[in-house]
Amino acid sequence: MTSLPSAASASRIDARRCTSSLRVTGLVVAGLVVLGTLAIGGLFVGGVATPVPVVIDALLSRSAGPEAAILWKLRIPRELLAMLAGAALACSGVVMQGVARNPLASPDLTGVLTGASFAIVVFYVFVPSVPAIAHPFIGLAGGLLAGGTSLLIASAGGLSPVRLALAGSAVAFFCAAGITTALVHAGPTVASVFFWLTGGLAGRGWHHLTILMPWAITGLCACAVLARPLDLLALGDEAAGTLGLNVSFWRLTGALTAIVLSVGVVAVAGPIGFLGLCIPHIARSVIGVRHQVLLPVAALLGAIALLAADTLARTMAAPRELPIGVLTAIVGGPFLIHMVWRRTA
Amino acid sequence: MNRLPFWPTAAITFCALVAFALLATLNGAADLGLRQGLDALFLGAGDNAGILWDIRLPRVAIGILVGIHLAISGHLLQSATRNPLTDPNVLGIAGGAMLAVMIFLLITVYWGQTDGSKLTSYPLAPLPFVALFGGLVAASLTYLIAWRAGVTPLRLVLAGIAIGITFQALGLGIFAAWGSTRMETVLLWLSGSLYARGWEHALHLLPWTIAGLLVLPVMVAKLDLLSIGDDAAATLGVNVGAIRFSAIALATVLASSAVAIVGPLGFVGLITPHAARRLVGSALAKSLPISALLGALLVTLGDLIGRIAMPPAEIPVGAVTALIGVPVFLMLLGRRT
Repeated sequence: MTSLPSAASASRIDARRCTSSLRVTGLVVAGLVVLGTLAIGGLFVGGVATPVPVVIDALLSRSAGPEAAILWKLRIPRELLAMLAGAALACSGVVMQGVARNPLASPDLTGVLTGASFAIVVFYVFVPSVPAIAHPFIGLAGGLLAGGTSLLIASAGGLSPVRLALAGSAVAFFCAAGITTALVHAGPTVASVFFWLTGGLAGRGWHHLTILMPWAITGLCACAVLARPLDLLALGDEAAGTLGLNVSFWRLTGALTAIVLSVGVVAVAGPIGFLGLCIPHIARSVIGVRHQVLLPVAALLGAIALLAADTLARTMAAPRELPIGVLTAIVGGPFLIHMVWRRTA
Repeated sequence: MNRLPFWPTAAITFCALVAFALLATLNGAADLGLRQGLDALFLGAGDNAGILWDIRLPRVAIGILVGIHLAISGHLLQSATRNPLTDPNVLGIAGGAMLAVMIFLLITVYWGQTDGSKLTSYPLAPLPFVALFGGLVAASLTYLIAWRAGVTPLRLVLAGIAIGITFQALGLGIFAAWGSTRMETVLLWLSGSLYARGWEHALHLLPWTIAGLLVLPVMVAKLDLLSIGDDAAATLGVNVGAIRFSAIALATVLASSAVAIVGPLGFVGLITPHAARRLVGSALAKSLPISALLGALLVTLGDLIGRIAMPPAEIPVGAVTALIGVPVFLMLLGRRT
């Protein structure tokens, strides 16, 4: 008799788990469908209109005309790049927020993006012979310095969101001043550096994808390992330690992973703001806080968001390009403001 | 901590300001000797008088005015919000002014303009008003977002940062989208520079300085009372909401007009109040003038460093003040726990 209620509750828990995993599967499938639709739809639009049969011909490599070149050399690599970069930025945000246990931790607000940009600009201007493939390494140094500085200074007071935002924006301001100083010496290259600095995927191709790939893949694989430790970290340092987690090791690994994920993106696409801050919050409100599902869902959402933004950026004013920074700011800015407004503290 | 007496401190700061201003006037790409420079400056003798009077002197004067604006603005904001970590940048005011000026410049100067030679000049008179509009919009937005049965300093800072980075991203993006071939003018303005500023710039800034300085004495006494806490100040008969609001409004006016003329100059308004309070104590009647003098000194010094660090190229003064100010700010932030 006594076993009955527990059996019932166990089956209820089972049922709940079942529905929640169903929900996750459903969401992921829906997300993949949206992503696929966007990607395929994006192939047809752009500065040059490409009707359906032409696209199909080109995709099946039955034609070698200019349309095939547009698809294979411009649109397809760019879409792949957008998806990968979006996923990387979103996961970077999730991991950073998990490690810092702070809703405002993100590649933008900790100064990582600006720090990486600063380092890359300095090399771009003063040592132009450095090949693009080395840019992520340079960016990594800058991102580590900037992110490390703001996290360290903020953590002296318990890493409260306000302190982190203040320290991060001060570090970002410092790096921006450094960029300005370097730009003064850029001479004729100033325009190209400036456009890179506003963030965007205009004119990026397979070459850039090969630069981003190792960084994004490494980071995303590290995320798979990090899911469990991040869950434990969320319980608080003491609880996580009691459960056998080496807190400082995993915190360091997490921060490093988050920075690796975002510097690859900065190197190829410039600092793209707001994605790493907003997507994790949206993903969390949709799917909950368990990192095993949160990370993939955030990656999916990030890929969708950046692909959509990039498609809009290259089609809305075609043949001109809009900078992605404006689009992410129009959506992400109000989101951030709403987040601040909702906070009760 | 021992405070320094007010008048000697003010006198020393003032002397330092005069000395650096003189140094900044005499120093530059066309190097004049001390004797020759002084002759040209005071007697109007020689060909160099033109360089000094028309190019360097207005530049130094604008630097001093802007420094005063930003320092007082920052000091007012820190007193009004009782938060030592705020300034026009942190509260998003500079971002709003910047966005408004950029949109204005792009529409009036660049719209439909194909003749590249005309793009280097832009209308000056409306700029402070446009910037003021942007700054007021940003400040009100920050205040509204932070408002939840009263404004707490922490929420104000968070809201300001959110507003600031949003406006900044929008401004940069809009600028890049325009893709003008003549972006140097705006770029130089954006980085906060005193380059190529003449007497006309100074004349458009001066009325705002005078107006601001005239209003200031009216609110200082009441603003001082805010430091003992809202409730205590209210029992002493201060209308806390009104005085806080008017202080923020005046700070916005001062900061926006400065941004309109030289572009965003970071961290002047943030660190000079700290230095002033440390020197002469936190009573506004004493610390505010010292703050203003230090602000003028910092901008003059920043511009001088920017000009002589890597000649003939110039580092914008905004970059120099940020490079000096950020480490100081981070130290302040690290010390507060």
